[in-house]
Amino acid sequence: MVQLTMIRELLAGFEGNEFVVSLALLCWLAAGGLGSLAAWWARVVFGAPSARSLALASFPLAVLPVLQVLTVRAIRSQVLVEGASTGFLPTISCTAFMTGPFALVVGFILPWSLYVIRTGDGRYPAGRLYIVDCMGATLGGLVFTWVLVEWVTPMGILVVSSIVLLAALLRLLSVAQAGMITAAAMVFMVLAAGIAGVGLEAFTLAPRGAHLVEYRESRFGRVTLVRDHGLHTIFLDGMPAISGQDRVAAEEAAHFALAQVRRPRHVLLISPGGGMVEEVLRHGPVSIDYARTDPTVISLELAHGLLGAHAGLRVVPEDPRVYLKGTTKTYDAICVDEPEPRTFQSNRFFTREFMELARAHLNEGGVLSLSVEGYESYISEPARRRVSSLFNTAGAVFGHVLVLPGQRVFLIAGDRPMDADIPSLLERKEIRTDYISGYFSGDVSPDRIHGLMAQLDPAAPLNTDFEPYLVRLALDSWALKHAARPWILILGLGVFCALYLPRLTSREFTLFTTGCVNLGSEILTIVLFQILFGYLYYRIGLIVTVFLAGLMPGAWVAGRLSRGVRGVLMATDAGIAGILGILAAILASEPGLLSQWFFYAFGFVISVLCGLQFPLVAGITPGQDSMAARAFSVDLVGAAFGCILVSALFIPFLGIVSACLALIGLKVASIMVQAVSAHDH
Amino acid sequence: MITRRSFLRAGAALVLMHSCRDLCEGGVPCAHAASGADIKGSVFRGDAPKRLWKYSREGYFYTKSYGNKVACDVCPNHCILNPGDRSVCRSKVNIGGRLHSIAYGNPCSANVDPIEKKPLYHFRPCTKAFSIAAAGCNIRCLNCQNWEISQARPEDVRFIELFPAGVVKAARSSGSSSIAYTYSEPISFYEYMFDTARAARSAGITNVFISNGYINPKPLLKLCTVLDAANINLKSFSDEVYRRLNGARLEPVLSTLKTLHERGVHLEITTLVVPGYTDDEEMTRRMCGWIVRNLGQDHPLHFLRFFPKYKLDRLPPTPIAVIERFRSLAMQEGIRYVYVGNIPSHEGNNTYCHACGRLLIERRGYILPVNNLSGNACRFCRTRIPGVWA
Repeated sequence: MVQLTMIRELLAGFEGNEFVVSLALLCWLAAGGLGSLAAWWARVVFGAPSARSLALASFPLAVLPVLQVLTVRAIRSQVLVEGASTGFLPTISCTAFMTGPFALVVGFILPWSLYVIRTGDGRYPAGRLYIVDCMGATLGGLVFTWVLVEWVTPMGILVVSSIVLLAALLRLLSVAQAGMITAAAMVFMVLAAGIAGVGLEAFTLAPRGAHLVEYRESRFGRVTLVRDHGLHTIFLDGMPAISGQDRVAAEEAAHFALAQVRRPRHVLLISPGGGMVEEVLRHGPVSIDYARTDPTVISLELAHGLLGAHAGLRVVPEDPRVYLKGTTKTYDAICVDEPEPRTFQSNRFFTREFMELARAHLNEGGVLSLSVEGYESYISEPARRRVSSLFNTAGAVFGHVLVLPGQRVFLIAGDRPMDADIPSLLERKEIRTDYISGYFSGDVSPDRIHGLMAQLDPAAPLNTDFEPYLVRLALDSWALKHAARPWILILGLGVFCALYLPRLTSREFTLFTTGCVNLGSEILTIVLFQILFGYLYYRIGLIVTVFLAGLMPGAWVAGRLSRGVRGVLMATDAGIAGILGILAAILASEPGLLSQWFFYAFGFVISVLCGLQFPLVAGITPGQDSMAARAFSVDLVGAAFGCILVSALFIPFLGIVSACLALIGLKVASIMVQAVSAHDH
Repeated sequence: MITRRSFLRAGAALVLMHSCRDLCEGGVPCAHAASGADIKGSVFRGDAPKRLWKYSREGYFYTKSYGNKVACDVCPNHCILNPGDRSVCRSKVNIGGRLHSIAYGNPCSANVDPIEKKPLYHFRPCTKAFSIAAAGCNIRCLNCQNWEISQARPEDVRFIELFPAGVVKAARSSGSSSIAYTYSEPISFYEYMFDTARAARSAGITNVFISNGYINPKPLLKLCTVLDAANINLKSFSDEVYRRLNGARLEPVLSTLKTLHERGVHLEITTLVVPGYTDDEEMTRRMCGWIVRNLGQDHPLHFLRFFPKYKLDRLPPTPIAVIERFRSLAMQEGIRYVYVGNIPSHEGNNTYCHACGRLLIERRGYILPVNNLSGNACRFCRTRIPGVWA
């Protein structure tokens, strides 16, 4: 629960891209790995552990989360530049600071509790603890996803988890016959931290100089509504998304597309900005369908006058791509006003597959409109490649594509020739606009249009669902904007691998690759699920749960195996590689065959096989205490690598099919290492 | 007095500055990380190209020092460069003990814009300005609109070859009556700007300087000999805000405004109202008072709405009510021509006679459907309206 809460906190406080999520998980898992090693070291230095020591060591887990969140919010508003996005180093520093201490203790507690249990039962298997840990994680994930996230604020969730933990600690202290003073002190500190967290929650989110009108945590992220001198602005995960006084954006998003259609009767708006509906109404459509994934945002828009009730306006509170896939209705214009394609989720509205879907829902002469961040006077290299890719992608689906430069670059696509003289088209319709009528001639002059067209690269790759080129470019843009060099992180990881991997035994190496592949597959599955079936919150939550739940039966089966460890490891490796191979083959040939059930089954089988390996490596090797700690550590470090490799490197740079193949490669390497080092043990 | 906030900031800035130099580009002390202190850029040590390229010109204002060091005297950054170093603005390098500009004849952006877009509302309305920029800027605004070129090295951007004579020719063939040095920061390509402006003046084309005004008096005085108009972006009236939002200082900009006024260059002033940074009413009042006392009542002042941009992308836009309030406040202070920017169809885009209050020029974007000027005077009351109208 704490992990999920912290990831949401990081997404809201920093840039909400895949890189930040993977950094958070990387820090979490790596710190956990260090913590596990620290437990082994503490065992050697301090000798036999006790229940009391376990309770005391676990206690920080009950107070740290609230304090860490409060501290990071304070750093975000007081130390870092207010209102500014942060670059690579502040992001990774805050991420490490926020997740590190907690994850370190969690990593420590796992083997330490094993040592404590073994003081009473020397033959207690590490695998059983692994199962219990998985059960706890699964239960936490389920409670968070299905119950808490919509009804309780982040601080509330942290307080709930702290109280549950506190109850367990008090029970542990009573077993250890510790004094009342210790218990009372723990209760006091947990309560104090909880009260501070809940009491300061809204205060720490209020922007300086403006009034925080509404604050809600939806299933999809943090939604805040701020008022300043009569201007309402909705922030999504810390970024201003919808504003009540952005006439220029509203006019561009509505009229650039609708000007091309003589009489638009049916219009679909996908995640439109403030004022766009009113601009569309000026074309006299019969119906406007307004689709947005997050119903919380819609309710805030309606409640605060950012969206009015109009005849013919229908609100569709579901993933717009899912809606489009399921409806038979066709449109004269589909206007996409989604956030920048920085994440796999938002990229789904800029791919060839989406454009094909949109085209299938357009009436004759209909148009699709998309826009991305533009430029004032010079298009940067990542932006040039982004527009080139979008232009080529749209060109592969539609007969005609018009590109209009500006602060946002618009692409209007359709199967009839387009006219770039938007003011004249609007004049013919007798629509007078504030911005377009007066400024278009200077801001979107023919020279500027030709200048942009001349710079587009016809060889730029298409942006597709399975090869999300724009997500990769978003990482490039982020690095350029912040003058950061993320490759230093990659280099650092490479150096770490070069130093770390040779120190592992062959079985530990297998466990490392298993941690890597398990988390990598989970990320891959979530991304694929979103692409194919949309952002279906609960079903994605189910995938996460399935990935955790499969580990338990795997570990249970492993506990009953006592011979042929090497063979089992190689066989399970081959099984994991085989299943990934099946997924890659279907994706490359006929992805339409993939059903939602396939992904549940895929996640379950992968995690069963991964879960099977852990107890074999952790419990059977001689010198079990140290090996268990090392195994916990290796598994977590492997997962950390899997996370960063798949989300920040494999998918953006290689595509999804190649990411599958890369994971298969890891497992093949593991089999080879097992094969050549048969006499290690 | 050290506040808790400034203490936290300073501490974090110190730690982050020392730990992140390897991860961030040398010249920027991790502005985003170094928080609210001072985001001033620093010299890029050892970053100069090995040899000069075609687009180089020896600097017009610099001082040689011992050990082949040079000090650039163009702007208040006073970059002291060892051989092989690059200046804060990224456009000046020390090669062989001489200061060279490497932004000469290689504009990365060249467009024909309406003069109103600069914005210049009282200078030859409805004419076109051939607008050029080379890469580089001597300050580090977090909300830069042109960060793709202002925070880039000249050799890292795509450019066209256009030496001064070529610029004048291109301006003429595009039907432009002015050349605007704009977009990035013309002070960083001073030599190129000056030579082009001189050639333009002898060809009868006017020169327009769109700048942050962060320049030293000597080069500015020389520039004034070829300038016709300027729009200076007065980013705030607080040195503290200048340091944490722009990485610059206030005083040199005020000095620039005075010099341009004294030298008779047509001057307009722009202020971007950034929520939480420059939307302080009291500060704006002081700024307007200073303008009236030092520059008079006649220089047009533009208040622009902020929209999230570059690194400053987690702030809301400026409320229109704030811009309107500042406009009326500036007029109360005595400034005669105060405009709003980034608010289409607002009456604050129009020009009203300061004497009779009648509508002189209606602006619908770059189109002027109503023009009640007769020569340079109000058609209704014959009052002379400040500006260059023909």
